[in-house]
Amino acid sequence: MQLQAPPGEPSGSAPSASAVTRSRSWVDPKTFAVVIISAILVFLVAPPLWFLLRETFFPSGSFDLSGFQRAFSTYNAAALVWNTAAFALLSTTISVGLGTFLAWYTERSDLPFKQLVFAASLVPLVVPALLYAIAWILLMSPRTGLVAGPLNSMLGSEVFTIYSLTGMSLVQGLDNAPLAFLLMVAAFRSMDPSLEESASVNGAGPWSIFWKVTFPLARPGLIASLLVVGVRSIEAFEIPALIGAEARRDVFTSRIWQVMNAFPTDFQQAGAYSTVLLVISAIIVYSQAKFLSGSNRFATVTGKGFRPGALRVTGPSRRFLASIAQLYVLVAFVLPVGILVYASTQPFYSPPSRQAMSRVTLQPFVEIFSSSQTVRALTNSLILAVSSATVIMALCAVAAWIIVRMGQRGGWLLDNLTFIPFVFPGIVLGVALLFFYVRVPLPIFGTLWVLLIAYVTKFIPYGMRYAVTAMVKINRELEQAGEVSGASWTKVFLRVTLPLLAPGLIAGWIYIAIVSLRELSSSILLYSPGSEVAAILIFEKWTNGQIAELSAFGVTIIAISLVLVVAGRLLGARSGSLSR
Amino acid sequence: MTRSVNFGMRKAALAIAVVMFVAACGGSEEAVTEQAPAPSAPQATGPEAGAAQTLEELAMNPSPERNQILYEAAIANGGEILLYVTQPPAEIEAQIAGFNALYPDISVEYYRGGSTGSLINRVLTESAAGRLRADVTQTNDHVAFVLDGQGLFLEFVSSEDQAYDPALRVARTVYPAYVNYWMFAYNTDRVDPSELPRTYADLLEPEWTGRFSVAAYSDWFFGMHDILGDSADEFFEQFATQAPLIAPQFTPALLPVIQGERDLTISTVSGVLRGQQSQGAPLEGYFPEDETVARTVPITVLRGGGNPEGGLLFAEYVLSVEGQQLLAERGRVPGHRGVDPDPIELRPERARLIDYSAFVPEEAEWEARMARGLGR
Repeated sequence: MQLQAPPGEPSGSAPSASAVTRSRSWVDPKTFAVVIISAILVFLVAPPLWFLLRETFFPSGSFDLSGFQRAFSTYNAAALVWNTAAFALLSTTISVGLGTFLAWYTERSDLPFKQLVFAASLVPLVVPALLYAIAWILLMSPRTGLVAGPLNSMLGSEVFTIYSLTGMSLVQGLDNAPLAFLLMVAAFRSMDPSLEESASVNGAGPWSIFWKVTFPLARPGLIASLLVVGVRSIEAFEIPALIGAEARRDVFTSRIWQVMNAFPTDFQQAGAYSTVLLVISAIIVYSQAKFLSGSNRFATVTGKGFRPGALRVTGPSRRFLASIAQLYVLVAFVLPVGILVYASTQPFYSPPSRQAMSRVTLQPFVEIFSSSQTVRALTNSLILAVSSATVIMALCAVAAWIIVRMGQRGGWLLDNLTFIPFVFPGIVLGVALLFFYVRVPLPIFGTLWVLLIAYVTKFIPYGMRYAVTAMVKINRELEQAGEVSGASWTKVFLRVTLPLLAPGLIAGWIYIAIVSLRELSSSILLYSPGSEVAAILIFEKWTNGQIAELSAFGVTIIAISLVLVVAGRLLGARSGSLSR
Repeated sequence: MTRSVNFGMRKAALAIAVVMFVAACGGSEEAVTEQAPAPSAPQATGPEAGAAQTLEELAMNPSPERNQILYEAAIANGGEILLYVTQPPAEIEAQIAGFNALYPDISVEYYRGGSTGSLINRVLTESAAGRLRADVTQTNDHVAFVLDGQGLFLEFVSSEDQAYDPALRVARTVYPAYVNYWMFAYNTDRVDPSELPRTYADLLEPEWTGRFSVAAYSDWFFGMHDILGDSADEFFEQFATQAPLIAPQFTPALLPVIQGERDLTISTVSGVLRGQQSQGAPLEGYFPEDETVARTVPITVLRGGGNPEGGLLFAEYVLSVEGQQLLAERGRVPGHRGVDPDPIELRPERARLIDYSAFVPEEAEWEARMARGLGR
């Protein structure tokens, strides 16, 4: 995947003689950065990819496609492909549609309750996907669900159920919406409002302005959202594993899990499914790259000053849009978090009733916090969240500059290397890393280090999306102004580029910290006693039927994640004001 | 000049990539399922060190002094034991508490495998890499049979050896901590006992469509075919049309019954049921009138772990009368002939143990047949 230099613009400014001398040297910071970051990325990416391809195509040393034959003949392949495609398309549409609407609502309109909507938009992000699935199961189980149960009783049949392709797509769509929301927020914030203001002055209404001005300018962010969310939907594990399994709607990831959990494990078959997913993801990412190759025509953050503004929305549109937002808050935040809070106060779960309310107790919280395993899992998760987010965004800040500014001259390798983990299903990455790190003479297997490596490998593409999306919006003239004034590349990067990147980097840091807290599909294969993380604990308690305890633990995780989000938002606001 | 410098940078990046790739992926790499190299026999330590027995000798000699020797050796080995289990945490934690009441200086950690397959894969992977960490497994016959075939277990003679039925031992290296008999369980708030299905054939009646759950264990599926014989295929054809809720394990099959989403599960065992009942869940269990499927949960000691003496000491505790009584209190059917389950009716009159020597070689086929048989 390559982001080309804008057409008609030189690929680099004409260097002075001293600059040419510096660029020949091996200590040139750009060269050094390319070499170091490339080395790190190769170490992270190459072994998992090697093991995946070897186990799939050369399991016994010679070329062998029997894994594909078993994968698509021993199981209903047509149903698998259909389920995966339909699930990904439907959930992506829901996520990106919701995310874009909510981002526009909070960043580009003067509609009410923006702070509440912003907070609620991030709630699915701070709730581990496994917990979100469990919450929706408790809400929408056809007979006993808090919402579906009474509705179906009135209708006399099980019309509303979570156990369907629609149900799982809806939950996945809600779960991924914050990701699209954050990407679109970054896109909308970086957009000069003067074009919209000009349209408004010339008499265009809000809908016309949105479709003819805002939406086209937001297209890079929208494409990025479709890419990220689409691939995320294809590789989703928790929701298909819990809801899809009961709905008998297996997708590729849940099928891989079934194969990996069986004995004897057919690694070649699992690799075949994974390879298909890789190809699909590669096609999606390549399509996006082709579109973004002319990225400079979307640059609106220039050397000139700008103030993000809000579009006035009046009349029936105002009431309608505000109602939609409030409904979203109810569906995405109040109901799922509410049912988890309720479940955390029950000795064992039963639908809310007068009898159930008489059993309210805080005993699940006592059980959780008196358990050394819980404290250890929480601590491990926090350590991994902070460290992986920091490492990733530090790498991505530099890598994004290289990719966007240097293009073919050094960015091509980094761009492709950071792309590769993006298409790895988390569960396959876990398997590949497990094989690699039990073999190499590094004493990290069974420790948090192997999990950190897994998280950095898995989430670096997401960090890159945030960093590159932010980088694309910054016109070169600001950096050129610094270079012309005699500043070194390093000083320009630290004093000019990094502050402008800060909102995107902070958004990326928040996202990675939060998804690290909820990560399950790789962790479940790599953890050992002492290195268990929060999602593992939740998964274990679900398989053991400890709904009250897992809800208590989940509510705690949500609270911690919300603190992270708030802190990040405050930091982002502060850095945004400093960069003006 | 700029072009040559840039080309040099590109070559450098490529060179780095190739070097890292070869370094990361080179070296000999054995297949995951390759048998672990035989570990060297560790020496027993402690006060008898002057005339020290090997661990294998100690394991085969259940003398009255053995536990003390094992205890001292376990402390000398670091005082930590690691268990690989598939039981509910509350149960294993109760066992650990009981063990620590006798041996407070030994720290016991456990890893709970998400499924039979995942636990087997973890042990084999670690063993193939020479990094086996566990000292004890307490899972089920399926895991034990497979891992025993890989030569991973230490053969030992329990001091309670005579109290254990050899027919319940799937291999010489295992002893059955308890026996799981498949049973039905229903939600007492939603189902009247008079309408309950009494046989597997009753499940095929229209009134039970969409009302029960089943845990998809392929060894159970094999066991059912063993019991039903020629009528098994026809039975499962109709079974799939009953739209059962298919769960991966016992507890996920029981949860929908507790919540009222299903009225009955045909896949539970007494210990899991008792655990939920103790929390107030409206459940009762019973055995079908047909012969029911059974398998044991054996305890084993791993040869390549970090503290095999400690592992053997833990196994001896579990197999002791005290350890077995603890399991009985938790609703399990003890493997020890001298300890009865509570209530005694938890041991059904008619049960058939799964024959793993016939099942394991054809496991992949049975997995596929089960997927079709349960309508997946």
